[in-house]
Amino acid sequence: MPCTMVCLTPVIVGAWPTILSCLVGAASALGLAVAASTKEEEADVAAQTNSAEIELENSSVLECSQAHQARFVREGLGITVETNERGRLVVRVEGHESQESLRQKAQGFAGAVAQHFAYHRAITQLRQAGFAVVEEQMSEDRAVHVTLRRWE
Amino acid sequence: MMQEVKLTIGPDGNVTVHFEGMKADVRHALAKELEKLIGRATQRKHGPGDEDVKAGLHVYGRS
Repeated sequence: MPCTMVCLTPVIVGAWPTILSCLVGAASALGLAVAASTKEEEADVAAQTNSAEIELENSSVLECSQAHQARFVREGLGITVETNERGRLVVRVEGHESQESLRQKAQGFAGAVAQHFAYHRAITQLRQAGFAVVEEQMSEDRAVHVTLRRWE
Repeated sequence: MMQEVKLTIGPDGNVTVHFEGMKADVRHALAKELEKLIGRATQRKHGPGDEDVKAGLHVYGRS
């Protein structure tokens, strides 16, 4: 049976509400919660000693006339995602760990955001084309495997 | 006829898509739509019949 394979590298493009949805999904998957702006949280941020920051080159927030920001926390770790002047996403991680460790966490978070973005775009498009999800699982390396099927 | 799409979405967001059981023009139309929505294609492996849709390849591919 003929078979074609294609590999896609996601480019995260969308309006802020769409992007925010992906950020929340990625944060949730990594055990992070949306930060409430409380005095305790601010004190926790102030107590962080290291930080690392990366820009997501393959990102573009549409209609980005104003700066946007979202913040997520887990014990001893804070992740802030904001838009820069070029409309790209910037991930900043603060914590007590080494800068290299925090940089890896920033990249891991960026990957999770891209994964959520790609998942929702692909599934939505394929459902519109008449496919239904028949199997879905996550492997140990956190890759998501989905099989969709339709009858023609 | 059963048609299947198998997606693998890595932890870095990279997506591998396998199309099975469909004609080349259908595969190419789906691949084109996914590329438009998700991002740029970095690798492709074409199956039998793909030579019939070279125009489609040109439309959805940059290789």
